[in-house]
Amino acid sequence: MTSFSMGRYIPYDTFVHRLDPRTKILALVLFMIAIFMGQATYAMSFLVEGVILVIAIALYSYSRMKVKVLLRSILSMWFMILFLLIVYMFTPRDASTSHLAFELWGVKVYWEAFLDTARIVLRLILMVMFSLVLTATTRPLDLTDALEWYLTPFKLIGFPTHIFAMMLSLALRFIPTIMDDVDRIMKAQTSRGVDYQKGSLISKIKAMVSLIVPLFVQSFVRSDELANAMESRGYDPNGKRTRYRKLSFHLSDLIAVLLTGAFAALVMYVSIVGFDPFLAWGGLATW
Amino acid sequence: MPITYDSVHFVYAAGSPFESAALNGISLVIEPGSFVALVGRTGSGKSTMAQLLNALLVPTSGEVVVDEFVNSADKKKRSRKLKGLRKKVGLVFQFPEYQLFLDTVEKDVAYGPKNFGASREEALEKAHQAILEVGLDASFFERSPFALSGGEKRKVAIAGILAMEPDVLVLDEPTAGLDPEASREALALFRKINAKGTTIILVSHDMDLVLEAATRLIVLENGKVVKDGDPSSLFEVDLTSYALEEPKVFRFVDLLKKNGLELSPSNIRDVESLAKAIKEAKQ
Ligand SMILES: Nc1ncnc2c1ncn2[C@@H]1O[C@H](COP(=O)(O)OP(=O)(O)OP(=O)(O)O)[C@@H](O)[C@H]1O
Ligand SMILES: [Mg+2]
Repeated sequence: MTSFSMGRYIPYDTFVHRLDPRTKILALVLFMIAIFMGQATYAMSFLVEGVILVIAIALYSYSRMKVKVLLRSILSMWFMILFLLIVYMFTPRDASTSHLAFELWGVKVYWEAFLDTARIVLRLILMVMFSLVLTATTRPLDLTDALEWYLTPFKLIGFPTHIFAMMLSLALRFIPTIMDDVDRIMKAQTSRGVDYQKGSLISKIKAMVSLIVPLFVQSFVRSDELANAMESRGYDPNGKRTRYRKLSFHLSDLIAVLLTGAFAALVMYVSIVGFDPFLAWGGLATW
Repeated sequence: MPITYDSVHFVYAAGSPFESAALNGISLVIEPGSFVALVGRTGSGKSTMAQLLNALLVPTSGEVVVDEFVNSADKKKRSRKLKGLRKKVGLVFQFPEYQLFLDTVEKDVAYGPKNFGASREEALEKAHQAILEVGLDASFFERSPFALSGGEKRKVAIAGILAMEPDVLVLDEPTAGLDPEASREALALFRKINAKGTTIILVSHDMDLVLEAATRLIVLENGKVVKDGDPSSLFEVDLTSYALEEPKVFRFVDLLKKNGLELSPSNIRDVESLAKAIKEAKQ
């Protein structure tokens, strides 16, 4: 069942865990911007993304996350990587500025196809790493509180931020419960002779039915019970309420926001002016 | 062939901050045909022990052997083909109503036998028999399992395992949530199945039922076996220290003793044997 626990909150007590969730969300957005800023050349692109990768690895290991989890999520992308590679291989390119690698059935394949794929894959890995760090170091409820905080401006135009946040936190809250259900139902059906791992496609589909039907039934029953329990305790979706946990912004959060902000700004500046130290070395300039 | 637990340890979520040790070195042998009761406080590891028997969990160290099937921490020793084990060991879960998913009760009960290779007609026949055995009548055959009461669902789920005709029947608190009469009937059924040679391992908190039916009682505490023996030998043990209730007949014997009538508790298991012992003492 460990495959289901990808990115699940793990209650260690590190610097990253202690940061305000709002800081972490903002930092995630800033890093995403930095990752997807286009750079003048491939060399510069890989340099910038290499620096971000170092930061990501540092954060990842600092929050005590397992390498196995990351490898597994990268491996699960193999099909997409292959697909991207094929698409890039068949993308027509300007022959005068591109570098020919080989010719396949009359189609000219350029080195740029591989570089483009590598760049996209690297960006995806970076995104996955930062998101994993966010979800593994932040309690789901804190995450929704932080999202609700970011949505407060929308209250002015009548957006029901509280209802939205409640829906989100209920959904998040029930993910582990549903995972437990999956585990329990799979065990019960396995002992009735269902094999979820082996067998033909048809028998696999049948096996999935024996999992999904009870899972849905259970989830509907549970949401019904939850709604009744909330209503019988007088829950009013539009009521004004105080909070048990208050988000608090510390000096360390300020430093973290300033650092990531400065870094993202630098990457943006470099991208916009098209700065590239490699231009000085004539050879790399054509890439 | 007996069932063997050989220094079995089990840790949930090993290596993560959620790590929790459920079994701490269980070694025991269960003879075929016996009726074993597994008792102990909440969280003592009973359900974990039951699931190891079916290879739904794999020991962190040690091994569980059922006939030719080995469920071992050692990958090399572990049996690969487990379908046979699951046919041999029928496991009724603590909340078995989770497993219902087909549109009629009879189809759902027939699902297990069909998975283990029975033909449609054969499976349905076994299903009908099992449904009647657990005390539901023929009107339930065509009903939807989702429109039943909690206790009826429980019975259907038990029938689903009985229809597989396992050699070893493991029941994890099968009577929780049933009314006293239904509990008694269920126990009578388990005894009947046991009399036909099926080994029964029953997890229960109902000490009256356990004393009445079991030939062997195993008390778990913190993932270790703390008492193991004939149920009536438990008369001397302070069961309340394991969060267990003293059986009513034992309490009655205690009270009689305080009021001057000394009985030997070794043969007392239920009201019948209690009455017999009183009669003998009077003569
Ligand atoms: N999925 C799980 N993940 C982590 N720990 C678990 C899990 N299931 C059980 N445990 C822990 O293992 C220990 C033994 O659990 P087990 O379910 O075997 O107890 P039990 O004796 O069946 O209890 P009960 O009488 O409540 O059914 C408990 O301390 C429990 O907290
Ligand atoms: Mg249990």
